[in-house]
Amino acid sequence: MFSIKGLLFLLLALLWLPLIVRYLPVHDTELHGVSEKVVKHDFTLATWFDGSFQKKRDSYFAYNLGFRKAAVRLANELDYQLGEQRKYCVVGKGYNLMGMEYIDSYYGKDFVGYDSLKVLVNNFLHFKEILNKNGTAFFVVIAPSKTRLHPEQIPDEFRERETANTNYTQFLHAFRKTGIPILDFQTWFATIENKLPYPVYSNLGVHWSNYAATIAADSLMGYIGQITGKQTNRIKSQGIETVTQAEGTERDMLDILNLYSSIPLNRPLGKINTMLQTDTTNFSPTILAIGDSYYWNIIYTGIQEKFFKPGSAYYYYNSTAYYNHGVILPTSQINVVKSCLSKDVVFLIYSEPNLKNIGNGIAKQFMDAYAKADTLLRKN
Amino acid sequence: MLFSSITFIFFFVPVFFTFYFLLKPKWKNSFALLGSILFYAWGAPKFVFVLSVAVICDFYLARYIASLEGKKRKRWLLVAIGINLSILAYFKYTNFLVETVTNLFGLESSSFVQVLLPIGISFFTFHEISYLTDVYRKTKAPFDNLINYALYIFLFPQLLVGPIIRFHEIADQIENRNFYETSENRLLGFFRFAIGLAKKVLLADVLAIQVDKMFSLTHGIPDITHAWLGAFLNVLHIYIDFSAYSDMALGLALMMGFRFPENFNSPLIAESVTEFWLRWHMSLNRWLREYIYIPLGGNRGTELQTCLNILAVFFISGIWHGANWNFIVWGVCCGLVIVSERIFLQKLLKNAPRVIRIVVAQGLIVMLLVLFKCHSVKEGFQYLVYMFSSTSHTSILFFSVKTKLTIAVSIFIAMGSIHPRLESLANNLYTPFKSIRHYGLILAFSIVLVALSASYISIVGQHPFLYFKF
Repeated sequence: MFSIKGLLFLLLALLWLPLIVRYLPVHDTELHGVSEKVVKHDFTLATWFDGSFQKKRDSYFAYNLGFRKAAVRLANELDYQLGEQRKYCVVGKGYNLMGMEYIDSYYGKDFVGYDSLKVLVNNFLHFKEILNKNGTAFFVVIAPSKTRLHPEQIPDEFRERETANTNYTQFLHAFRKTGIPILDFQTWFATIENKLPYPVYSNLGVHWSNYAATIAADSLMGYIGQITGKQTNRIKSQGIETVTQAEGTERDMLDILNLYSSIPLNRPLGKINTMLQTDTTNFSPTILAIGDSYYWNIIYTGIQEKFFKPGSAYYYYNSTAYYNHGVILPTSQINVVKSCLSKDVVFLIYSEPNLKNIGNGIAKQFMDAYAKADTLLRKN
Repeated sequence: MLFSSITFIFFFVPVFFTFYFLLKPKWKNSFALLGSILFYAWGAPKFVFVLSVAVICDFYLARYIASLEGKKRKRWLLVAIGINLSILAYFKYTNFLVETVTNLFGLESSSFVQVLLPIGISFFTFHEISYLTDVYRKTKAPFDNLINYALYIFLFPQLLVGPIIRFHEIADQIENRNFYETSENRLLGFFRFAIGLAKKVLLADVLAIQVDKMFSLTHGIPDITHAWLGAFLNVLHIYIDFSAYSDMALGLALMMGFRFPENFNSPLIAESVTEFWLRWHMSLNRWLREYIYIPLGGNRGTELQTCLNILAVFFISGIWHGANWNFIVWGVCCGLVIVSERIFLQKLLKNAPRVIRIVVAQGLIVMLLVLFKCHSVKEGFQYLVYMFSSTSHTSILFFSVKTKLTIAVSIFIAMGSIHPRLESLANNLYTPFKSIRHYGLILAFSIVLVALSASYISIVGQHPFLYFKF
């Protein structure tokens, strides 16, 4: 059938194939997750001799090679089947997927230490005092961590001795001690979870389920009412639908595993059919939320748009500002003092692994800018 | 350029070999030289000039030596070797020397600019010395053609990590390799390359993670079992990683029509440390024997002289491996163990069962290679203490199914030859087959291995070979 020369020709053809196939319209399903697009760099003698051209070209070849996406899935699938863990997605007990950073935080590996914690909490205390003096409420929201909620799901190879020196425990203690209002969804969900008909987390995602985010959003509205002493709008439920398919962030961990196979949902999820009816007699605040990705799930419930005034904004990691009226700006272009003082409510919303950077410097930025503005005012 | 990089596998290999196979024999050496220079320059663009100057100097020096007779001939050989060793010494040992002197006298070394090490310098220096010495000894006449000599030094399969091919072993093949340039050999060569690639990516890189974890003591101070397990996995890792490179080098060379001598022969089933060195990095040991041990007198003198010669060779082997005290101590310790075997140890174990002899020998090797792994002598000896101390403790290390499978396959590859049938299979793995069906099978197997390896390179990136640092 084949001669030796024919086999050799076949070998060369197969070796050329990945190079050629990238120029052909071959369907290769996109990978999930975030990766930096690698672009082609031009050759210069300087970049050749310092080796940077070669390094960039290596990355470019690797990134743009034909069948790369299929190859990535193949390796991921093999590793998954052979019980090999990935740092960005750990397969916990009962096929509960979790992020390694949540496990590290649970065991206090990212604990900022008492000195840094004291500095941070003092900054927030001063921040709160100035805001309150100007009629703006301030509080902190701690989003629940799947790992802290269910430490029994941590795989054996990552189990360690538990400690009280974690950011969650110590920040919670310090906020309570200094009188900074705190809405601790971690403790709240741990208390009520058993009574809830649907899970707080899907086994396939690292973020809270749509069901949990909706009840958290309603509680957030209640808390804003409580802290401002005004009646706020609340979410009304028109019934809960049972769903057997995880959606969006409910399956974010499964997606970034980039497997050929799938992992089944181990419990049906709830989907609350909400009614966001605004009562004009209720208080509709202008808010500023500064936080991590957990707040996106709150935004997806619709409360940000319906219950908060158009000037409200969300500072994602205090880096990008998303305004209700659709404007997106880098926070570096915003006057932090004006922005905070013009709001009725300012709150931070962070999950456990991001507590080490809680606020992402907002309090210090505010204080520095405020002190500068105050000095100018005094001079004038 | 790394053999286990996407650029090499899916750009360099198809482009280079397509043209190489199509070219007429008279153009092949020039093309192979061009490809080899590009291969080297991809990773070390500045050092191509250093290497090129050394090649040109050695080419003319060797021709000059060949034209001389008597004492002058020897004097010029020493001059030429001196030049090559000076280049090696400058690039490889300056940092070490400055650090040692500054530490010794408590001097400030902040103004000293670190000398960068050209990759592969230890290997090409030994190739250059082999060429000069073989020409001096009249074992082979020098090349008439600079391209041929430059190809001997630059030949990309052996340029960075060997095997160290003595000039007289390959001189004829550089000038004419029609005998080995067959389609069968090209397929067999690719088969060997694929096996080497899979050993590197699928086994060695997985073992490296475990070994690094165990040696970095991130899981606490190991107990005796874990310390020995870590040390054993270290040996397994070094063997799989280095033999993977040798497989790839030998495979690529065979695809080009060169038959390189073997570099490993199941060293982990050696029954003594002396035998281990006859089976491990064989090309280096042949080089050391031929160009250092025998000129020093070999075993022709008294027992004491022989022992001193052995110690000298292993001292050089240690310092050649790395400019660090741990390599020097490791080399000396290897020499001392071999001398001990020569004097009494082998006699002591002469009547012991084979298994006992293997366990004792491998136990010694496991301990010796701890020094090879650690960054300092202190760190090495500290780890050796853990291997014999009952007071240390550790949290239990967890191995995934993949890691367990990797260890099992690696042990099978490293020690499978202990069974005569498997030994015969290993010995005949890369010899030509009779039926075309076999070639079809090895091609299919090679493609599967390359595809699997490329998949893993896509997700974890490329890891340099352990011997790159030498």
